[in-house]
Amino acid sequence: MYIEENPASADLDAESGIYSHLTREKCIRLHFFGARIEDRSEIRSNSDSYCGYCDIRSDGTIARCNISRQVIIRPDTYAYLVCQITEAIEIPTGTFEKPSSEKVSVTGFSHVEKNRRGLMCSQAAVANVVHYWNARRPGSFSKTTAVDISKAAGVSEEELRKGDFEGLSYEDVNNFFVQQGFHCFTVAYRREQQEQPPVVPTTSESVSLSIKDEDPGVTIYGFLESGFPVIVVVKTKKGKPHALTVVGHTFDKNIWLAYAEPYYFDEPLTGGGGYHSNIAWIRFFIVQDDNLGPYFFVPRVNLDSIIEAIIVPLPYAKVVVSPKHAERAAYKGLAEFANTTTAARVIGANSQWLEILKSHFDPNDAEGWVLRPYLRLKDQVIELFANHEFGPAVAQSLSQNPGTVFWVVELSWPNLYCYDESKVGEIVIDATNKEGPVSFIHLPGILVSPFEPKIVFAAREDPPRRSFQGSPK
Amino acid sequence: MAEHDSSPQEPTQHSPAQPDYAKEFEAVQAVVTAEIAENAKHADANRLTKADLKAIKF
Repeated sequence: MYIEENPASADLDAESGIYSHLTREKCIRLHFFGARIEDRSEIRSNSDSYCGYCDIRSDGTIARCNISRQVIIRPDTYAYLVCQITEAIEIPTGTFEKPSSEKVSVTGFSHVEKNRRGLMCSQAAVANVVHYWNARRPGSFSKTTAVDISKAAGVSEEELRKGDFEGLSYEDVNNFFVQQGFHCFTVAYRREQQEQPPVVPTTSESVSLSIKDEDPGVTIYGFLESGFPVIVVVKTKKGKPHALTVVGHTFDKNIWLAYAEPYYFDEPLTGGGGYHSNIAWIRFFIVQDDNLGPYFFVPRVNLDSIIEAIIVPLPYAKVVVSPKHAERAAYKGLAEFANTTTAARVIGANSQWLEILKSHFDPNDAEGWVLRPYLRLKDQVIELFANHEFGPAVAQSLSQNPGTVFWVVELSWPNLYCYDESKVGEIVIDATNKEGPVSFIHLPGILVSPFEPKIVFAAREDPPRRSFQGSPK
Repeated sequence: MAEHDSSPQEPTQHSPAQPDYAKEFEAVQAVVTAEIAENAKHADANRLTKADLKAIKF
């Protein structure tokens, strides 16, 4: 580790300007290396082992950090940090008389700790998302420090100083993102026993849903795997909601419960009882907790009982269909289409693939289907078919489609999905359109769409192909 | 290049008439739309008041 004293930091500057108990020159930045650093002259030769930094306020709390997974998560785990960003850091290595610096980089996800005064979990979570998007799309947000975010959300300096500030409201959070050109997709899970309806922002810029059965996993996963960090608000025992930033998940293809729950214990399949939602293989979400630290693993099943709301800041068009609703609707639509006379016209090897797929439909007779949603822009959907025989037809069809953002729901069965990481088809649903949203359906050897060409049969074999790799390690 | 629908899949002398794939696609579209609408109904029934949006802080 190397300690940089009084580092350049917009966060520390802003906070020191608000809080008199903070002494700017006593703030430090800890730099972590995979090698032992005893002198600054050793930094250059060890820059490849850089693992991140941590800006410490003079009261000992963390203003901001970005730490590589190597620091906390062992490389042999099955954790997928989907929303990582790479940040460039400059470390001063010279002297006052001969200043010099070393450029290093860290790949991880921002973590901000509350300051136990005016900066609460809401601002920390929002700041995490802001840091992520400013790295992914530079210039996305003009307000980047927790202080500036608070002010933009309407909090006064006096409120931030007083020490009894309760944090931002749902409306404040939504307003901040709208001001900065983002849209918040919000889903509420408030429970009947609290005699409160779900949280649904009603501004025209935001969209919210409440779902009939409480299973937040699919919604969190759908956005997360698509590259969107998710703010999850959970209930605490004290009754005050607490915000976590979800940045990754685990995926365990060997998990026993995915099969055992329905087989031994008559538990319904994770996809509403009819199919496997791919979250059957996801037991943990990886979160940043502004109280406890970065990269904690939260059991997915525990979220069911404590979750209050999900907020997903999105940088583009208004999404009105949730991943869970897309997945459920996709299952019904694909089940219907697989048995049409149109699908029956598929011949040869593709007909065999289709029959295998259909044979897995009933989980009592075979493995059941697996569905997996993720969000893509139109060009990205076309790119998914770039090397496929149907590529030109997909591009032509989507060029006539007014939609801009789509849920791609992949279809597979457990062995194919887990061990070959493959799929046999997909249904593509316009995420911005609730009325007639099916943009096209692809099953082995056949593509159908409401636009020209409305139906295409493959001339060659259309075998299972690689699933979307949305979660690099 | 993919073979479009103009090329029959089973080119026998007694091929049946072309199935109405547009009609079958519309049926799928209706199923998907209805399922999404069903979920939306629950959302509409549970909207929060503006007061709640302002009151709940974290």
